[in-house]
Amino acid sequence: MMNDKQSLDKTTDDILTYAAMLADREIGEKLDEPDEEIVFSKEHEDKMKRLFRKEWRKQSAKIFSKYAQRAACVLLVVIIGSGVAIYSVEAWRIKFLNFVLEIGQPNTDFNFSDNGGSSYSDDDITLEYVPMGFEMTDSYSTRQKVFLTFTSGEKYFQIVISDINSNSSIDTENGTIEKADVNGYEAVYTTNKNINALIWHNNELVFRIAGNIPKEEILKIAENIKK
Amino acid sequence: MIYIVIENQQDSLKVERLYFGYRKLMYKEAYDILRDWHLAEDAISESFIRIINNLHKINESDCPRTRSFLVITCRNVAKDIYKKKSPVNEDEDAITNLSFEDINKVSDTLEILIKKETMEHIAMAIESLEPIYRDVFLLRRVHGLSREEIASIFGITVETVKKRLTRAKLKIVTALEKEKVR
Repeated sequence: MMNDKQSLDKTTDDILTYAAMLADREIGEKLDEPDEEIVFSKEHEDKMKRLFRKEWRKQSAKIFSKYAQRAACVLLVVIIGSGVAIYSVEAWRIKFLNFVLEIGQPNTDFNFSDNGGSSYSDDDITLEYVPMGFEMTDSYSTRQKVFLTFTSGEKYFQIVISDINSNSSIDTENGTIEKADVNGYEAVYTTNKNINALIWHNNELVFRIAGNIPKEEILKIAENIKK
Repeated sequence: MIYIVIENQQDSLKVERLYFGYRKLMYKEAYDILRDWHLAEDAISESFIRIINNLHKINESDCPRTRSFLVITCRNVAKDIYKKKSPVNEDEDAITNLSFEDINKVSDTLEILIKKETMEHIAMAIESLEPIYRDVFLLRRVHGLSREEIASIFGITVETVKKRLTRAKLKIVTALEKEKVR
């Protein structure tokens, strides 16, 4: 609890800060750009370009590090999720150790290849079921979406997880549409040109699974996406 | 394979957009102090080097606040360059240290005056401060920089930043008292 004196000091301080903001705005408004033409030297321009490049590299490294940390978390979740099985099978253990080693390297491709298993986890999303024989062959993310592609020979499916505010679409022209249910959430299932797709949301994220795999498999994958 | 897509295009360009948007204004400010086009250019590049870690505190859109931040920075970097280049310097911070009692008195008087004055009068008192005190005061109060960050950008010690902040308050008191006499 603040005493009277502290409370008064705080009020004085707030008034002073607000007045400072008014003064700052007034000063800023009075600053006019000079009318005369200013030609900057090539030396200066080059120096600035170097600074921009340096900053770009710094930002890239920072973002890479952020993703690497996330990937490390993913690894941890997978290890915990897979439990004893990972450490009891030599092949798994080697793969996971290799993965750990690769994280620290710049421009590393994060490799979960040939898992032969049935789960995948990314941050707080876990795919508890992946059909047998499928492996993740591509994955990338943008600010609003995560794309995961799994393939097995000619068969494939793609999972897109996006922010509720982003756009998601399925080509339904000349296709069939029917309602479905994913863990109590209303979903839309479509079939079009041998591509089956399922789309639903949980009020926070939009999920879309599409591929040339049977409806039963798509539903099973969907029902086993855990958050 | 999981490919991580690095999407930092927007962030990395912020510094460029600020540079191209405000370099003329910054040049004018630096040139007025240094009277040398080459040094003025140095002041601009040095300003961006010093604020690059605080870019998140700068609003990118063209607004008085952004203009103020960049001009304050460039002015003080230019002063720092000038100070280093000039063999004889007048130490602007060679001010008598205020005693603890003085500081308390300043705070108490300020408290009384602030209660009686309108917000516009207080703002005018701040605006009328000499730039040496006003710049530190505004970066701390308005732009949210720490004393350490200000010291690093201006090329001065944290102790000097503290002195200037206290001095700024004292000057505001003096200005408001003068206003009251009128």
